Amino acid sequence: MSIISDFDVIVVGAGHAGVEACLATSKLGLKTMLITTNTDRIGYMSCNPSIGGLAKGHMVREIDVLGGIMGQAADETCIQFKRLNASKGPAVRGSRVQSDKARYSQFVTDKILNQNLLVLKQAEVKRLLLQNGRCLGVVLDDDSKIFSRAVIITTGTFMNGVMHVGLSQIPGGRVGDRASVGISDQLRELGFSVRRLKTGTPARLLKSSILWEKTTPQYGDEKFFPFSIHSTGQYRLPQVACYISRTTPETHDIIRKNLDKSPMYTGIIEGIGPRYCPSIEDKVTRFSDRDSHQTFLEPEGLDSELIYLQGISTSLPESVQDDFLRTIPGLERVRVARYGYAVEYDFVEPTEIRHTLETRLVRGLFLAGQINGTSGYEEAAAQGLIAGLNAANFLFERPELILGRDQAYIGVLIDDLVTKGTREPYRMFTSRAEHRLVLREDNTIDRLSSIAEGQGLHHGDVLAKLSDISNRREALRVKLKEERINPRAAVQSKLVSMGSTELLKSVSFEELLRRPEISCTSLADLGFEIDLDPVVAESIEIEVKYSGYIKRQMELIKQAQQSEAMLLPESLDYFEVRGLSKEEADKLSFIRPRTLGQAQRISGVNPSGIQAIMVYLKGRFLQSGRELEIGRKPTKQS
Amino acid sequence: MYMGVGDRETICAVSTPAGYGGISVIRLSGPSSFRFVRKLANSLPETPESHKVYYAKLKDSSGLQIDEVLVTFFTTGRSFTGDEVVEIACHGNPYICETILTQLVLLGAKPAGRGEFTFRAFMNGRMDLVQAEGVLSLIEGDSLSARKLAMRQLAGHLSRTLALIEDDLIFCLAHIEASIDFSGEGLATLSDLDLRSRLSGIEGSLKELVGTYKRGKIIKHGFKVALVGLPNVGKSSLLNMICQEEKAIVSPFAGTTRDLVSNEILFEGNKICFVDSAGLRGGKLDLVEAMGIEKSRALAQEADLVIFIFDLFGGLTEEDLAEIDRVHPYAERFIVLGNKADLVEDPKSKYQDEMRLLFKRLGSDLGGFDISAKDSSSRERLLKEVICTQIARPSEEGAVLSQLRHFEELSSALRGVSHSLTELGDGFGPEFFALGIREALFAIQRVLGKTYDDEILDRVFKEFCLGK
Repeated sequence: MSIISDFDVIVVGAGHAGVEACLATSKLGLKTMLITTNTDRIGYMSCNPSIGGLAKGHMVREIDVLGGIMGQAADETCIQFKRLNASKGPAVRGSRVQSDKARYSQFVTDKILNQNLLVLKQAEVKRLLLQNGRCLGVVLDDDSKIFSRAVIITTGTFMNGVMHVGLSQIPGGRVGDRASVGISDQLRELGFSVRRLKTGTPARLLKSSILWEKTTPQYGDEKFFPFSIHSTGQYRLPQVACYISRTTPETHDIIRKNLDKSPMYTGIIEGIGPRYCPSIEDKVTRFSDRDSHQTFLEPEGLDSELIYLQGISTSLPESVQDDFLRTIPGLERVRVARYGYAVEYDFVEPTEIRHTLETRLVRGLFLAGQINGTSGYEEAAAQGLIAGLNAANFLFERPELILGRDQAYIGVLIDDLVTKGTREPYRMFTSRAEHRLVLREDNTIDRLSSIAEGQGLHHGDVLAKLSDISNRREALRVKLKEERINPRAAVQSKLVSMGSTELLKSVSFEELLRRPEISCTSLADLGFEIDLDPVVAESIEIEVKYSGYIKRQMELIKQAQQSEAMLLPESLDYFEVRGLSKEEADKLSFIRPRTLGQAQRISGVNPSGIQAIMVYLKGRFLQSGRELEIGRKPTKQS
Repeated sequence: MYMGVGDRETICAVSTPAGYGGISVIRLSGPSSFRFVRKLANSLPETPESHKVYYAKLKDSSGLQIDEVLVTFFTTGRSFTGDEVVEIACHGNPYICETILTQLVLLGAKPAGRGEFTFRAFMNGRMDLVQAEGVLSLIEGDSLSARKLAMRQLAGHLSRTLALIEDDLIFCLAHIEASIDFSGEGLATLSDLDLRSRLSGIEGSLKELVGTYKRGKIIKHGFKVALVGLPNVGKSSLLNMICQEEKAIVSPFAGTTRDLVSNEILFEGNKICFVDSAGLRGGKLDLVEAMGIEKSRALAQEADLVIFIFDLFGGLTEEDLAEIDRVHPYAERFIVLGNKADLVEDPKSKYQDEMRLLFKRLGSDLGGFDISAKDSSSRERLLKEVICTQIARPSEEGAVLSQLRHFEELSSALRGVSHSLTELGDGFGPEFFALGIREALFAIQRVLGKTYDDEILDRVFKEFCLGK
């Protein structure tokens, strides 16, 4: 029987992962259908009203350079911008915008509606159509079938989602939206390991009920560093302040007295929540010595009446929420528009997917976003984009896109997920990236523009802009190396007046720029002709100043990679390896790590297990007397 | 030998020193250990209790009694190697041991290779790499203090010390990373001041450990003494006297010793390694001798003690003094012996006169005394007064480094921490001083065998002679 595909790609879910995925495939010329249960909630920010932050901001820039939409949407709808860690080094600075939620969703919806080859459909997907281990489409709630050559699932918290407020539960993935039931059961039947996670969201307050004078305003930065290469440095919307307040001992008392009404503390919720984003119940219990926790009151938009209460996520009953909120300065007379709640949902153990985000068990089936155990809009969008690009690569029979851990935070994200799996909702941190000093916001273009060109999401004019920046940076690099400065009297006195010291001999401008007190501007003052456009000068200055550290980091990574470089034969039978526990052999047989380094990162595989594998391989090598695949460097990932 | 494929073998070996003694212990490790022993002693129960001693009469296949023995059974997971282990305590007689081993081998046990018990323990996660290296040192250790040192390493002194440092480093890193990734959340992370004091503490511990390497090396490889001096002052004779054997070729002709001649002795539990060098001479030489002299200078540099020997009868010559000038700066410890005391009437005062001369020239006092290579009673004096006092006794407590690998890794850990401290002081961002701490952490984890690379693997294979 031949199956006629209605579409090339079906994307299930229109959250941050889904929109990136469907825009990518349709832009690449693939007929794509985006299916969502609620077309009014496309690219919707279900929780906090901000995009970016540490490590997340890095990912937004990476998404942007690779051709995704998130950076533009955030820039266009920015109502407050902050550069976090501005006082720290450039590698750990992160941009964060607060977006107008409604405008953000509208911006993304417009892009979807105006995209050629992309069809939007409101429906619920009940099942996947499968044949011979390949995914060939979906079945909708009205039993109609839609055929396609690949399917990308991005259902977020909606798979068997249950919302908890106090001791009562309502099925659903977000207030006002029903859960989607069926897919996860089918995945389980297919042999996927499906488990539960939990996340939570705080109450939304009515702006007019807050006594603002009791809170402390906090303003954004004047200088805007937009995420997107498409954006200008100008704010598009009026900028607003956020407000800070704090919980009080009375708040904590009320929470403690009512823990018996919390679904978390009575054992109703079995899913694991994120340790880095604890509910207020958790904070009060785990840090009982602190009598106050900070909270930010963040406007959800310019025209919105809603205020998001950052840091106070809770699933206590509504009456208890009312009581404890009113003990927070400024909220004495607060009226709650929507109470906080916890959501439990199904996710698929991400070790079941490959680096391309295609599942190991079903060809043509890709998973992206919270379904893979992550948390956060940025993490979701990054996966959506990669899933979309790889679905296209799969259908066009082109090489897979796998970003290295030294190329992008997105590479770190996916490698962590598929090799380690996750026990809690996975969020990106700068500390997860061993190449942190290289993975900076300022050099995103250097890292990814040639990959972006190969993937083909950008129009010619954008590519020209990217290559112009790359070329100007390269020109400055060369010029700094080649041109030298001599210790003439005028130079010496100028250097001293800049707070630097005299030259002992002629040096290149690059060497001079390595001095902490010398900037690109000071080079210009010394007569060096320089492109002072921050896009060029700032990035190169950072590169030069920190080259010594980057070298050390590279050395460290090289050492670590010696084990990374040890390839594990595809045919390796882990049950033959003496010294491995059955559990370890099971895990390794399932994940089939490509290298020893990857095996080492699998949770549950102990150091002694790794040694056992090495000894086994070496022993086999010695026995057979021929070269095994040991020690050969893996070919460069493309 | 274990190849990692198929059924696991049971290995056996005599675990006590060879020779006659009160008892000898034969150890078996592997799944059939008890089964094999029970075939030699059917009085043993079918299912023994772990850590229990059984009395048994061992008989060979023809029913002939070999010995009365005590058999101790250790169940899988609760033994030295992690395998099922049986220890047979028999009478300390090589013939009996040999017979028992032969019977076990006939039943299917394999004679254990060098370090194979240790290897199994390592593979079964019963000891870490540092401990395994300790056991290997123990096997190789040929002096009392080397064995003591290895025992300490096996007991986990070094592992424990390193684990504490590792823990401290992880603590600092956790705080630094939290201050980066959660900077907006008002966390109570370590202040720069606290961080500095913690890192200084770690730096101190690492410095101390790295500093023990010299001592550890002396214990493991012996205290290296270089005998240097002009040709024909009697260096080789002295070496032969000390080592009580004829090793160096002695002749009345200057320049007989062209290459380095070395010999080791054990004295009061210390291993001392003497190296006799080609006589130093600055003048015109043939090429072979010139190369020998080159080696002598290098030797002076790497020796723990340099003994300069001159001819007391002839007194210190200008040539001697010139040579001392040349070698002295390279030596860590330097003493001067006046040889051929037997040819001098009052050697003590002659020696003192000569040393005064030397003092004038150098401005510093060098130890030493008069000696005669022909008088072996001066051997004891030399070894006791001069050499043993120079060998620092390792403290009974605390870890000591003896392996070059450990020394190099910990030196690099020390560099990392020092870097971090400097950058912290210079007001660099946390992602920069985190780098040095990561370097240190990584180095320590390499010592502990927590990260893996070919180098460690190769070492494991070399030391455990696998794959034969």
